[in-house]
Amino acid sequence: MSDAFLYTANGEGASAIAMPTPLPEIIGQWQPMRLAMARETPPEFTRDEWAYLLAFIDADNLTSVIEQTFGPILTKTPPKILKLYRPRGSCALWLPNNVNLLGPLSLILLSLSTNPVRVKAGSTGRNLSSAFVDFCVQHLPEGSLRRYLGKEIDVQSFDRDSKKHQDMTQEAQVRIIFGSDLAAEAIESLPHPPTSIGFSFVDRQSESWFENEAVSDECLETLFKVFRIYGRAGCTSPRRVVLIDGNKKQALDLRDRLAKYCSRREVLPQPAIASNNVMAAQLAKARGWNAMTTKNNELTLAAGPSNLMPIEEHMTLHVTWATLEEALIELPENIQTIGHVLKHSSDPKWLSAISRSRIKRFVPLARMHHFGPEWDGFEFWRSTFEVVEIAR
Amino acid sequence: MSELLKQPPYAMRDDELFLREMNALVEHHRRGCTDYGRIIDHDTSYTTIEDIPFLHVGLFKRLRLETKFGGMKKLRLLKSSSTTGDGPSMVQLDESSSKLQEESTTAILQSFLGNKKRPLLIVDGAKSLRSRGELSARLAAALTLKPLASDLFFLLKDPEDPASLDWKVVEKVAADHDEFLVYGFTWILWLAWAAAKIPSDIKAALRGKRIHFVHSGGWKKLESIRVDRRKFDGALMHNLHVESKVVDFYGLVEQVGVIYPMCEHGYRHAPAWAEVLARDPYSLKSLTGQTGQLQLLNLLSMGAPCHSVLTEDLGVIEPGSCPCGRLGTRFHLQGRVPKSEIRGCANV
Repeated sequence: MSDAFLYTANGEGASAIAMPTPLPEIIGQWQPMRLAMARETPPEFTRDEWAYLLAFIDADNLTSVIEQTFGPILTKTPPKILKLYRPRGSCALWLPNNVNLLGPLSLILLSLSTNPVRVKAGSTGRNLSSAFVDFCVQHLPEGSLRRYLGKEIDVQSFDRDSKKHQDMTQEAQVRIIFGSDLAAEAIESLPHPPTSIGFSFVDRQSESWFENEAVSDECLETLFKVFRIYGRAGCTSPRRVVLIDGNKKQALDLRDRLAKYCSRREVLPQPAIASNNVMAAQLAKARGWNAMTTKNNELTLAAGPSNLMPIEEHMTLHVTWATLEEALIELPENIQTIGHVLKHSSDPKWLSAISRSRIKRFVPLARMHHFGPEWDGFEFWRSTFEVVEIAR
Repeated sequence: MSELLKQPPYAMRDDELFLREMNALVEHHRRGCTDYGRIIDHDTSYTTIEDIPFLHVGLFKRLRLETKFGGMKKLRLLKSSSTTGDGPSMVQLDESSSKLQEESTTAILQSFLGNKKRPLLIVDGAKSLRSRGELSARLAAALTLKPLASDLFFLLKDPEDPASLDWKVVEKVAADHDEFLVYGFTWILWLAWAAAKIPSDIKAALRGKRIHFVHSGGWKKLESIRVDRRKFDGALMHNLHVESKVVDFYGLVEQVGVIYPMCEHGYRHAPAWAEVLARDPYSLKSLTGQTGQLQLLNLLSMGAPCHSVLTEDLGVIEPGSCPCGRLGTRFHLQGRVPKSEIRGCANV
């Protein structure tokens, strides 16, 4: 360990973060990747995925991870340090089969703490973690980040019964598990060091809350983009839009405006998606929804009261209405994110509502998928450091 | 009762009559099936066959679609094999439709296999016939040949194990008959018979016999092991009478009673009481000469709204007449709509 300290300060006082390589230097080393990434998209990634990764490694974004966690970065050494943070040690990361972008995103965050990482990639989906690490090692100039990615990150894929799961739990100081409730339970039941810590990010659902007066054409475009990435399959995807204090007419109007926006697009979805939407719209009608497909059968939009049986098809977005209290009651047990389009999101009534719920994130619609150092109610990235109290 | 069922399956059809009967069926299901009535919620008379609304085949996996009408007598529930992970399709059979469906399959099969009754050997087990109130798609397909059968023999001791084929039964049938029918699901017929090591005494007993093999179920698994039609047919026909043949038919549980055997020229034909359209997956327009999702229509379905179903099978409607002489829309079947990869973290 070198004496490369980064100093930050928050309301509690100043902290020092001890790193083998200074954090700003690591962030700086990520930046040449942006040019390489802009030139070439590896075949394993969709354009949207690659663009998101490119934005994620931007210096401002990575710096905000540090400042969100430890407070603003200080340019001078503070006279008094109250806390020292240092990397906790090896991390183990389990990834689900179908949201493999979580792999590269987590690895970027973990690169900031420089802990060695063993990754268990999904066994059936695309292994984006390996593809991303390989791309970076190939394109990064020689330096500590390249060495870290090449030597300290080990991505493997194996089945659920493999003994390697236990090898990972026994070695790791930090366990980060993305997956089903069952998978997380199974991993957490394996022997692990008593001083280690674990974070389980299990199945979650999200939705959007709109106030009709705040709905603009721009927000409909955002809604479309946010929904289209994962459809209903993403834990951060809005499975429905709830018009708070809205009504049927407003819901139908919002649905029609969204359909109109879609009608300007010249994109053909995969034929299986188009076919599934034809089916989903019919299923929705049978269940009482006022349903339609958008141009080229890209999405299914279903408007109706919230007590109708939902349509659990991949690209079906529901538009419904409720009072705030009803919306709170209707939230699923595993609610994660509310993506909002509100007149005044700082109105205390929203804070009060969140405090009475299990909501883990309450963010503007456009930020629903944004991954960060705090997730599902845990400051998991901060926990990849251990904290040393320094006497006042 | 469809007037069109009274005529030969592949004769010239009165399209106006077909359309009239189809419109009547749409109304019948709108009145008797609540879910269908919600989906097809406008009261209209369709002026072209292309305008006839369809139900997507996936609905039969998600809804129990049933049309109630006076005098309806329910029979068994027909269940498809669940290959997509969405669960099986379920189609309620009823007595009046079943009669029409049996008439239909008999007429279609006779066009390909002749009228003569022969022993029918089914490469499957009889076990699932005994399950209460339900019938598997595999056995339902086999039983479409029953009207052409003088006797019925089930060959698999264990329906899940193609190696359990009882060759003694085959030997006995071959000893007593020069002609017989053999039906199996395509994949099972391959494993149990075509690719099996047939005992030498059975081979001798089969030599020169006139066997009509009939199979259905699709080629996906065979394609994965690089078995094409030529290899498949060749393996089955080896050392048999020159008039033996292999008939591959296409059908689905949501279209009970209408099967589409492949003709000598590689096409499948719609009988007079059915129609086939290919639809663009995006505009849903009817296509000719281009690949589209097949929409299958028939005049036989009274107890469930299976009269017009948009499938996830791909095909091309070919214009012009077929050298085989059968009239009615002809098409090539091209496989299934390719699956898409779903990205996300929730279980959908």
